[in-house]
This record gives sequence, C-alpha cells and structure tokens, in this order.
Amino acid sequence: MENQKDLALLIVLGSLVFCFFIVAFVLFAVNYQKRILHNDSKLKAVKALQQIELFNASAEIEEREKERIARNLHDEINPLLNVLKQNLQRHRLYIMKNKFQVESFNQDFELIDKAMDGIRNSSYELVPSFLIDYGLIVSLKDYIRSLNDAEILPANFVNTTHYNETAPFIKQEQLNIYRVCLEVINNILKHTACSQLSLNLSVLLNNFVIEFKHDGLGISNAEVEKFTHVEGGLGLKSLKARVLILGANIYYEKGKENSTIVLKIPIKND
Amino acid sequence: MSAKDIYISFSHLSSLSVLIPIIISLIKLSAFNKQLKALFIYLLLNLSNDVIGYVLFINNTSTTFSFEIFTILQGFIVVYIYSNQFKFSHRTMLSIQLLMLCLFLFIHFISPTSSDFSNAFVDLIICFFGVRYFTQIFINLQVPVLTNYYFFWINTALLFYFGTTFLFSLFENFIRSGDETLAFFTWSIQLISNITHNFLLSIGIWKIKKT
Repeated sequence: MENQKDLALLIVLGSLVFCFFIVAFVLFAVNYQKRILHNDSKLKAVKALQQIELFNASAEIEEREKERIARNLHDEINPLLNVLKQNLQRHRLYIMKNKFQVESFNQDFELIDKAMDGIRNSSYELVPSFLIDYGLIVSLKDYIRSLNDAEILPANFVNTTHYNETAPFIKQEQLNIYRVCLEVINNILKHTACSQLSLNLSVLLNNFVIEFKHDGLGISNAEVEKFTHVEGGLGLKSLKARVLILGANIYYEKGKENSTIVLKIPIKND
Repeated sequence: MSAKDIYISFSHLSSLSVLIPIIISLIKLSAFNKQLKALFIYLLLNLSNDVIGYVLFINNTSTTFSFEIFTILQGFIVVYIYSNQFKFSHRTMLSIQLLMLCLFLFIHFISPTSSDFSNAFVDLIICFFGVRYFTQIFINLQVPVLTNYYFFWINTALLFYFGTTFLFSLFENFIRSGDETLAFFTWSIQLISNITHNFLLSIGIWKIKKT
C-alpha cells in the first residue's frame, strides 16, 4: 500500500515536472523570438544608418567635385579670359595707333588654348566625354595608357572578356564603374607605394570582374571597413556608395608579393 | 473540505470552463477558417464528453467506451488542426490518422479493459506536434510577435494540457485503484490543467483577426 502511494506521488511529481518543462519551454520560445527580433531590428537600424552615412558621403563628394570645378572655372579660366579681354583691348588701342604687335597677338592664342584646355578638363570631370563617346573599356584602357605616358606608374591593361568596346552596362552604370575604378587607382597610387599596376577585365559567372593587381602595400577587407567608418574617409565612403548603387561587391586581398582589389559587378543586361 | 470535495469543485469549474472558448468562438465565428472550425468542433466534443460522462455517471454506467470514442475523435481533430498548420497534404494527414487508429485498436486489443495506453498515445502525438510547432518557429521566424498570433496560444494550450496529463493517462487505472485521497488530488491537478487549457484556448481564439 505504501509503495503504491509512493508511486502515485511519483506520478504526480512527474506530471508537475512535465508541466514545469512545458511552461519553461514556452517562455523560452517567446523570449528567444523576442531577442532574435530585437537583434534583427538593431541590425537593420545599423545598416540603415550606414547607408545614410554612405549616401551622405556620396553627396558630399559630389558637392566637393562641383566646388572644385567651380573653383577651377573661377580661378583658372576666368583670369585667363580677363587677361585675354585686356589684351584684346590693348590690341585695339595699338591698331588704332597703328602700333599692332603680331608677337603679342600670337601669344594670346596660347592663352586661348589654355582656357580651352581648362574648360575641357572641367567638363571631363563633370562627365568624361571620352567615356560617353567610347564606353567604359576603351576609357579604362586609355586611362592606363595615360598613366604610362605621364610616367606616373608602369601599368598594363588586360581584357579577357568578349566585350571589346562596349561593356554590358547602361551609361550611368558605366560612369559609376569608371569613377570607382579611378578612385581605386587613385588610392593605390596614394597609399600603396607600388611600382607597377595591372588592370584585368574578365567575366566570371555572369559577373563583370575588374581586378586591380599591384605590388605595393595591400589592404584587407576588415581594414577597409575600419577606414570607411573613420571620420574623413570620404573617398572610401563614396566608393562604397557607388558599389552599393551598382549592386556590386568589392574585395580587398593582401598578399606578400602582390595585392589585389576585385570589383565584381553583376551583368544584368547582356 | 475533503479531497473529494475539492475534486468535485474543480470538476464543475472544468466543465464550465469549456464554455468560455465556445462563447468566444461564437463571437468570432465569422473569422474562422477550416482549422478554427475544427477547433470549434473539438471544443463542442469536450463539452459533450463532459455532459455524456455526467449522465453515464448518474446512471451508474461505465464511461470507458464513450471516453475512448472521445479520445480517438479528439486525436483526429487535433491531427487535422496541426496538419493545417504544417500544411501537410491530405494523404499525409490521413496516413497519420490511420496509423493512430490502428495503434489505438491494437492497444485496445491487447488491453481491452484499460484505456490508459491509448490515451497516453494520443497525448504523446499531440505533444510531438506541439514541440514541432515551436521548433518550426525557431527555424523559420515567420511569426513577427509570437504572443499576438492565435496559434501560439492554441498550441501552448494543447501542449500544456496533453503534456501535463500524459503521465496521468498512462497510469490512470493504477491511480484509480490506489489511495482515494491521492487519486482525487491527481485528478484535481488534471482538472486544473484542463481549466488552464480552456483559458489559453480562449486567449488564442480571442486573438483571431479577420483576414
């Protein structure tokens, strides 16, 4: 009888333990889900903040570019045109006095050439006309050639894609890719102390791949991420924003002899 | 107040508590889908089981047969509810129900006088589905706020009731044949868990929104 009572008590206790576990399990489920949702919303907020930061950086870069172009027009071209105006007035006066100076007049042509160059450069910075006329691939090839011609850095250009002139992107995308490439090359020239550069174009799994290979100091993805979020990392922020707009990915790989930066852009409209 | 008096009080409360989800169901009936209609039938079945049990008890007739029919029907309905939730195909659902019926009859054939194992078996199946629902929530994370979702409460109610009563079902005849005070005490716990189950179901039904 006593044993039976003990067993019955055991059943009651067992059931209460079952009950306790079920309640604990349900509470755990609710809390676990709450925690996951909380983390998820936190992550989304951080991502949104980062995106805002990137777009702000992009807008700031654009403003600075506009400022630079305006300064260029105001400080370089405007004085040139002023000097030309004064020279023309002087020539008119000399003509009236029959003292016209051919040499001085010829020198003014150089001023006109300088002003034209200045305007060309400024308009090129606004929208590279070369890119508009010849497309991304030819523009990149030409840019690499200009690095060699100016003896800034020995650089070579390799294109293993089946696209010879036109890249499979719309003009706006090509412009963004071009600006990303220029920013990357500019960073390589400024920070890596490399002695040679190679730009390789290829197509991999429906991605247009642009690889920048150099023998200077490399940088890793984590380091780039760190520099992007420090104050003043405007160039990297703008670069990241452009990559984001393109729906592309950029990878930084640090090597002992060679380091690479790989830009992968998905091909949408082949 | 003796253990029997406490048991009788809880017994009345338990029988009455099933009316709460039924009344709420009647209010929310227009928003019911197939799954909830099945739940409503489940509630009506609970109520009719209580009424039939009471009538049979007054007439000194054994409730075993009616209780077994109730258990198997209850099992079928709960499998239907969970099959809807897990989006099982009709074939899968019918296979589970058929398997359940076969095992139920097999257990009944082995032990014709006892309903212990068959009830415990149904409890076990329902607990399995209840736990599966939570694991699915962890994997998919499709429910934005768990406590606002009606099926969370319904699942909790079913898991709580059938989980708590599993051991009681398994040893029901043993408890019945033992010390009367302890038997009334254990049945009182079962009744409390039934009241809680009805209360949780009421919350679940109340949370239903018209789609």
